[in-house]
Amino acid sequence: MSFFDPLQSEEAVPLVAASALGLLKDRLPNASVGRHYMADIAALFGEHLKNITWIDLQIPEGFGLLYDRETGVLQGDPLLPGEFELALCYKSPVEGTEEGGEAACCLIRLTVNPDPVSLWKNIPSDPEGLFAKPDSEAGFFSGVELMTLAASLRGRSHAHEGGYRDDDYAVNISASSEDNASPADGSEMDAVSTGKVAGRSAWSIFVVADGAGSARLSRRGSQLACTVAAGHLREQLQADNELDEVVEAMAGLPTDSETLEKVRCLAANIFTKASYEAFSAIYREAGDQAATLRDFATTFIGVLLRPCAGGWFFAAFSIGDGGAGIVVEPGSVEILTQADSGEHAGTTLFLTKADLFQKSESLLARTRVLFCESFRFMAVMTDGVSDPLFPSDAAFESPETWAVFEEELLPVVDFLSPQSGMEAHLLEWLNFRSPGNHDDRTLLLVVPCRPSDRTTTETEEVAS
Amino acid sequence: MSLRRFPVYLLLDTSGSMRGEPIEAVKVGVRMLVAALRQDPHALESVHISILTFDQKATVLCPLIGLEAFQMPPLRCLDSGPTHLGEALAAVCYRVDAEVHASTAAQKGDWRPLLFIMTDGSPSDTAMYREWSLKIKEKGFASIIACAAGARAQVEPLRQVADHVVVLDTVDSTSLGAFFQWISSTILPGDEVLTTAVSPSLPPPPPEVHVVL
Repeated sequence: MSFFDPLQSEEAVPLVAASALGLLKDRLPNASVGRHYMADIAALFGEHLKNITWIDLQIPEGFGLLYDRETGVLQGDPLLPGEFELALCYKSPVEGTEEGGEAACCLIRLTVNPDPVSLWKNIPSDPEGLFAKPDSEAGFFSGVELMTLAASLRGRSHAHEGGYRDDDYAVNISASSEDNASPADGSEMDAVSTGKVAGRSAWSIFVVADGAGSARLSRRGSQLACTVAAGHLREQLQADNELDEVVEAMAGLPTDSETLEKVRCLAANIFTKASYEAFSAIYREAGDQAATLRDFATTFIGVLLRPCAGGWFFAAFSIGDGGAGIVVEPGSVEILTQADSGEHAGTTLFLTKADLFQKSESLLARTRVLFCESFRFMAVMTDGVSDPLFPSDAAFESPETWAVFEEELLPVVDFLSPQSGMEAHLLEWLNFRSPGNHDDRTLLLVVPCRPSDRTTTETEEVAS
Repeated sequence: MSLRRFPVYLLLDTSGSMRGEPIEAVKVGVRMLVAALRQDPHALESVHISILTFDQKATVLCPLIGLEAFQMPPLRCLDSGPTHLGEALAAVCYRVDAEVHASTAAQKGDWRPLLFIMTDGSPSDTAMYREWSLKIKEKGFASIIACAAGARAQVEPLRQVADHVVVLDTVDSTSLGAFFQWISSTILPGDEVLTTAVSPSLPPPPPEVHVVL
């Protein structure tokens, strides 16, 4: 077949409507930058194809797609986003001519979607604005028994508009070795000498909160929820309290449901008081700002953790989505929260819902407790992390999903011995890509110190 | 992992009075809307569009499809005939039941859908309209925004079904263009604005679009 390029040819080639040519469609399936594309051009002619001797598709240079005249297939990796009209030319034989027939061209349309990655903007939030908060935050908290990595990252959807990070967290770890060097009373001095913190300063407190994207001051709502609740939890646990007395008095891990239920009620009381305190702080702030409670809408997850005879004690309380879970050992997971999720994505319950505190049963139902001998790590996260990594409530309870989660974290976190500096890697990791998931992300990883670590600490303590 | 979709339903009047410039303007408007949404990374990954038309009957012109794959279907008007908006509301309800996923233990649900209604007249099937303007409230729409286009369009029936009613004085390419542009801005600024339980606030409309209070 002789080479013929109708558009380059001196002869005028008629440009006609695709329908006039008998084409089935005048447009190709949409393409996307960054994704391989393939379309059968010859198939556009349907049954007319048998009358066609030659087809060509004119592709601008640098477009990323190539038309193969042999196969009639257009394919490649599109480089330019936009709406395009490509000239499709063909010849059909006319009796008595040698050239292969009469040429005609039509324009067929092709939409090339941009690559979403290229569209995201990263606009810093206004550091001088009302309730400004850093776009990201990370921390490493080291105690005698526990180490915690914390990272909170503004989501792409907020970064795109220069909005604030609406997530927040607070970590209040059990008395660190430094704190124990000058204990308030003698009993805790004994604890130090055994390498274990006991009693009321043994509690560690973890809170995460996710301000609603639709609520204009939710960054402050989540901040108040974290700082006020964490502070109030600490206050309650430092003072004489029954929860501490009961846990402290245990000779080993309790197994009877009566004790567990009693402990759960005590924990529920403490959480209810602290979260109500946070609610009240938000209520006052709303008054000061002439705003509504709704403007401060935030979720809330709180976890209390302390060593106890024979192992560890956890208590957790949550309002809204996100969650907290413990990998006890590989293949064994304990979930501490039940997400409040509505029928649709993005619908959840908020701490700022006033009638929440009128139903004591529901507050009790929000509280879970757990005793275990040992654990590998605990993760507390907002839905920005749980949505992409645990795509359903069932997945959040599945040890398999947690195993994948741990594996994905392995390059940045050493679960056996987390160290200062890893929080920066964790923060970087939090920026992972997941289509459709661009919310703020907050993750706390809590890891028990290994006995050998404890011994080291103890030796140092004794030496000093 | 299934992506959580953000369904956007467009309910467009194709009755006889829309013939000519009005329907051409609607076509251009929808194309502009889609082009604008494609420039937003979040929308590009999550927005799904469905187009239904209504004249003497309701037609599902384009079932819910991702923005990336969406192609504008041909829009045609009849010569004349009634405006069966009630039937169209019923059709939207059926589509939402069939297409929009609710949350289950095994799957997170889609975002709450949005509905835009554009008409230059008023519903002729009044009994059906009354029935389905109530039923549609149960379908979990994040927001229903109705547009009364031109002098013949009646605002009152639209108020029964829509959270927001806007008025266009004329049914031409300028005002419809402004309307669709404005639709894209109501969808865009952080999808969350319209998809959470908190009631949405609309961005300020252009001069051609009047919000009915």
